[in-house]
Amino acid sequence: MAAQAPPVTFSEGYAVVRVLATAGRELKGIASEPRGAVALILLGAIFFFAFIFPLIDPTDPNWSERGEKLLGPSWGHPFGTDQLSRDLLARVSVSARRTILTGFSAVLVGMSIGITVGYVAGWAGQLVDTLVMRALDVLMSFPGLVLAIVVSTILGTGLFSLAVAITVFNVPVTARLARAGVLRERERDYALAARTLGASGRRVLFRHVAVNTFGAFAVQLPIAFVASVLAMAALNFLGVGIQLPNATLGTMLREAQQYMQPAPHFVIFTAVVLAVLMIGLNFLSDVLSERLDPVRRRRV
Amino acid sequence: MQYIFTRLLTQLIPTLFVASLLIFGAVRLIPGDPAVAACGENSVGTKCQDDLRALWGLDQPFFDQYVSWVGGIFQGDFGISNKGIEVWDVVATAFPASMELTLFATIIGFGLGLLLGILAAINRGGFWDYFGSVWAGWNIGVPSFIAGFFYLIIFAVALDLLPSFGRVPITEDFDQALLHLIMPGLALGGIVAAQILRFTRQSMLDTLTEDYIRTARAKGLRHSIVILRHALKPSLIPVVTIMAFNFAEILGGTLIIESVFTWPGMGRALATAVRDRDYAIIQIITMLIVGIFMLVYLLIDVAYVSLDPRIRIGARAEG
Repeated sequence: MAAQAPPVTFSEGYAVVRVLATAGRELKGIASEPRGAVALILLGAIFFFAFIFPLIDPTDPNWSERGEKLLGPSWGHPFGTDQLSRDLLARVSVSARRTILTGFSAVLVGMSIGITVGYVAGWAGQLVDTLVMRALDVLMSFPGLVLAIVVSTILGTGLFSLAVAITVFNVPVTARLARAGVLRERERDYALAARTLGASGRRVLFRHVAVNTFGAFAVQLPIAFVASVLAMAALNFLGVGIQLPNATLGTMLREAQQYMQPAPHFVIFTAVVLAVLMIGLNFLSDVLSERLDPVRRRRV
Repeated sequence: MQYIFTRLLTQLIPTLFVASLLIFGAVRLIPGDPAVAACGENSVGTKCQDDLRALWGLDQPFFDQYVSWVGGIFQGDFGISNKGIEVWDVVATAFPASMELTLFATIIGFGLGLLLGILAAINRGGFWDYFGSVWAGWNIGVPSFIAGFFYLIIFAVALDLLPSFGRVPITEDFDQALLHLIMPGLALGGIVAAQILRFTRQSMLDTLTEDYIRTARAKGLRHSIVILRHALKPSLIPVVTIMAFNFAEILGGTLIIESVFTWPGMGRALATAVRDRDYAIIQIITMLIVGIFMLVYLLIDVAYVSLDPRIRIGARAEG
């Protein structure tokens, strides 16, 4: 080892403990509400199914066994097989993981860009602000799905172009939240105080103002995640952003639709996994936004 | 009136203009030359390509193309698709189909939501209340197009009760048309029904505790009259105000649902056009959807202004 890891200072260690404790308390709080408990159980099951199960079951999702087309569920293939004789259990599991990971990274990147844009617009003000906000107005006048379809058509086929499209779809709302937060907080006394002490504009923005705008993003995150995973599934289902042979839940539904009569299990298993994921996410986002939204929390 | 005019002038028209520029520009950014795609890869420099470019106006400068596109829209000339069909004809069949589905889903959503909401309120804690809350949970948790697949599996594949795809125009065969509408309508209207149900239930429960309901009961009116004439009417006011928002939401939902049930509407036309890289169709349908959305939102704002005088005064003070 060339470099020694820097020792953890007391305050850093304390911060970690505090974050963990808060997360733990939050989980307990979520689980204490019936909808929250259902959400945690469903999401736990999906997490196991999509991320841990593939480690236990080594079946190759793209391997096709000769002459085993569209078989119903059996011991060898608990979910049955698809039109190319591939094992559906392995395929649905891998698809779920790909759908979740792509959706989640699109949300994180999209929100990061949105936050940056919003901060810049809110902090710079005047012409920059007007231009940026008008551009966002136009983006927001497109229904999200239509925007994503147009962007991913421009970028060409493939899962990556769809991920970029969904990233774009997350930018406008976040940017508005960030701008509103900056506009509100920059006028507060503490910002003025920091200024008076001689802090540079950038320091005031990032050290003082930014921290106080995070609450809104915490509420927005689960909502954005639900919308993004849904948009991904829907667009893949429509045939946008498909990348063979790498399946997602949406592309699997698209394939399954053609074999609904001879092989209903194909649709059923795919739709059930997607439905469980969506119910879990929806309930979680409901409970979370109730708990995180200070106005609603105070009322409870 | 002045408010509507201001909104049109300062928001709707500029945004539509920029959106149309964006859509038109974006479609031209799509990689690949449509003329090459239509004539085959070995046709470089042939007459086929030049003819098609001239037909689609691709040989003209960007700005001229845009002006003639927008000019065409106002004259009902939407251009010609890849397959040589008039885009106007595509839209003329797809638009009514989408509107029919949207309207029907709105009716189903409101009808079911109201009915179950009233039942849940007067049967508080009973079977209908429980059924209503489970049903609302299902519709809020499961997105419409996934719910659509479950309905397909249950009602079309397993029970063989309803047709699984297509549309029958309502003017030709009313019964068949309704049968084809039920499943997509239920899937699309579900989320609306769930919201209306919760709203109606709460609103009814609040109304039922009012003094005048007790008075109506005390003077010996029948139960059903009290519910329908005295309790229902005032409960409906908040429900009606969320109607327009839901209309927009359902319209957005048709984009996907139409592909689940092979419904020949705008969503399906858009999905097909994206697959075929049919630019003329993509840009018109996108433009239409954006336009409809903005119009609906404008109507919502106008409705709010007429309901809430404070917004009106605010607008006057600014202008």
